[in-house]
Amino acid sequence: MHEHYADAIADPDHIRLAPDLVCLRFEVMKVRSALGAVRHLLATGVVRPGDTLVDSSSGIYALALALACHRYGMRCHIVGSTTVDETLRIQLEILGATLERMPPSKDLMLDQNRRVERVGQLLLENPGYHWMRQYHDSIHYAGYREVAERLDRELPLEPLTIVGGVGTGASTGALAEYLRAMGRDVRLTGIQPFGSVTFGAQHTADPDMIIAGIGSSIEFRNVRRDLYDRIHWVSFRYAQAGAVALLRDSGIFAGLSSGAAYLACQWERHRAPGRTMVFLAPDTGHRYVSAAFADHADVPDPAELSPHEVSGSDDVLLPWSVADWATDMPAQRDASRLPVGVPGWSS
Amino acid sequence: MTGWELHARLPHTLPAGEIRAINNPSGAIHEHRTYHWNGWDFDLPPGVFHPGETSRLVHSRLLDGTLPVAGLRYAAMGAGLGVEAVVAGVRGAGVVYALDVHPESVRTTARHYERIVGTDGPPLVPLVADVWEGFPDGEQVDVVTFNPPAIELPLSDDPEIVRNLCLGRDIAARFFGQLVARDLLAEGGVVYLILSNTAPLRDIVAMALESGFGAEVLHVEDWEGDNVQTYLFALRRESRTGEG
Ligand SMILES: C[S@@+](CC[C@H](N)C(=O)[O-])C[C@H]1O[C@@H](n2cnc3c(N)ncnc32)[C@H](O)[C@@H]1O
Ligand SMILES: Cc1ncc(COP(=O)(O)O)c(C=O)c1O
Repeated sequence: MHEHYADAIADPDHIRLAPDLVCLRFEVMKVRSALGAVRHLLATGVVRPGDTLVDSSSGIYALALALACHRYGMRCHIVGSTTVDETLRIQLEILGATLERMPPSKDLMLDQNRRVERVGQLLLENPGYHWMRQYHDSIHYAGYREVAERLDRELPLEPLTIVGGVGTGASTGALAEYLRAMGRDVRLTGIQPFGSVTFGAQHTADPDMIIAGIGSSIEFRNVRRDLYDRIHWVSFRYAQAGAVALLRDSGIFAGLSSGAAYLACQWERHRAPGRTMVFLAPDTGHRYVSAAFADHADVPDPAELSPHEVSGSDDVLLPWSVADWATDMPAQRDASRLPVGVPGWSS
Repeated sequence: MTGWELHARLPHTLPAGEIRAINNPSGAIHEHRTYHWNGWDFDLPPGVFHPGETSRLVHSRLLDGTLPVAGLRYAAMGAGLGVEAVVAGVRGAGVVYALDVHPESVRTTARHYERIVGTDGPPLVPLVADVWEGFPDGEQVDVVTFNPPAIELPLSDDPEIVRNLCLGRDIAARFFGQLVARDLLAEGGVVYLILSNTAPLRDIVAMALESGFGAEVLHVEDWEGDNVQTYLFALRRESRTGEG
């Protein structure tokens, strides 16, 4: 029995699609991250019940944080944009979160700066406020520890390849890091959209829509590039093909980053015998119905698609590229690495 | 001597063991403390940095005018308890920005500023910011001081100690990256950066050079009894000053 709705939607279903292919299917993956972060803050005494957690977000993190606050008796204050959609806005209202909406401009860096400026004002005026910094604070890794532990129990023996979209990098990074810390043989494959700075493809652009939740136009310190072995850059069109195929092949109705991960997984599978591929499906397909599923009859069959194999981010090409990610950066020295497990909190 | 020629002469980072022996952070950061300097009393809530000798190398040079601020737009990056802000106020800066990622430090700075400089002095703009993220866009400064928490060893698991001392070169990378990308330093402006060889001093200066700054050494302190050397640099945008 779950103690709260947030727990229920945060825990993934493990679905075996083939002997060597497993899907971790989430309702809303970000909730896992937010719950873990809030629990960590409470357990370490950084915040107390009744305090207010604040961050800038216009997307799913806002809902995830509001739910985590609801779960743990905290207040929630979100600085978002006027483009926040109605479904999200209404849920936030009813959950009792405060949402401030600022008009967006064309420049994402300046938008982010203005939102941080506003968050800064709130923090200055309100001593009980805590800034979550989902892009930068590694406490957002903590919640995935339980996911890693459960995966380890369910797949006790075989070498694993984790495949997932990289937004803040918390989910993929944490799974790989926690499993490796348990002594598991884990390879990590990240999925990126074209145009993302995260793995150096800012010189490219996808002619279609962006894939929600992955990639970035600003630097996220929660992405630890040294953890990744391979990167796939996948276009909207190909992610769509993956999402349609995932539904057709398995019945799983999931979003575009899941589709892209499924596509990459299917291609990598045949090149890595002896490994079990585990891919993340971070959200459901509902918000993508008209953009991605409606014209399912016209999308290509993934079996006919293959990536350009390139040597690095300088050479990536549409609509799909893959590269080994040999990082030329020194291992990240950030002293605040993985949050240590909090005794008594792990399930 | 400036630029890469200077860089080649800078000291390498001390061995980890030596750094640990010198920087032995205690749990005192979690207590309420006081600090007395130049006849002023400061009180430090938990989490706010207690200045040491390195801090005072900057504080005393702001006070004696070696680092001029009069009439200039000044920013104290990583303001801490607010000594630099207070001194810049007393020395007649045009405006004083105090930036810190730690809200209690910004509030502490504002409190000290109000008490010591008062409302007759230059306006204080207190900002909770992540380096320059949160600094109002379209504004510029002429002078910046920064004593970065750039030690690159996890001296402690304590997040307060990490924030005050050991964020490594990453904090410097973001400092320069944002300063340049958003063009926040006015024409002819200067950054006074203080660094010891307990931090990756050479690599951070290399970052400044690569970001288009020229570097000049204003002061070197060779502390007695250990191998620590502390450098106070003046960094100016090369393209602007035409300096070699
Ligand atoms: C070594 S203390 C210096 C304090 C004071 N300037 C002095 O010299 O006494 C470093 C300061 O940088 C602040 N700091 C750490 N990370 C920061 C960030 N990302 N942005 C702004 N300030 C930061 C810390 O909170 C701390 O106050
Ligand atoms: C649909 C979707 N895919 C992938 C991700 C990436 O997750 P992370 O931020 O952990 O890298 C997210 C995160 O919001 C997401 O919403």
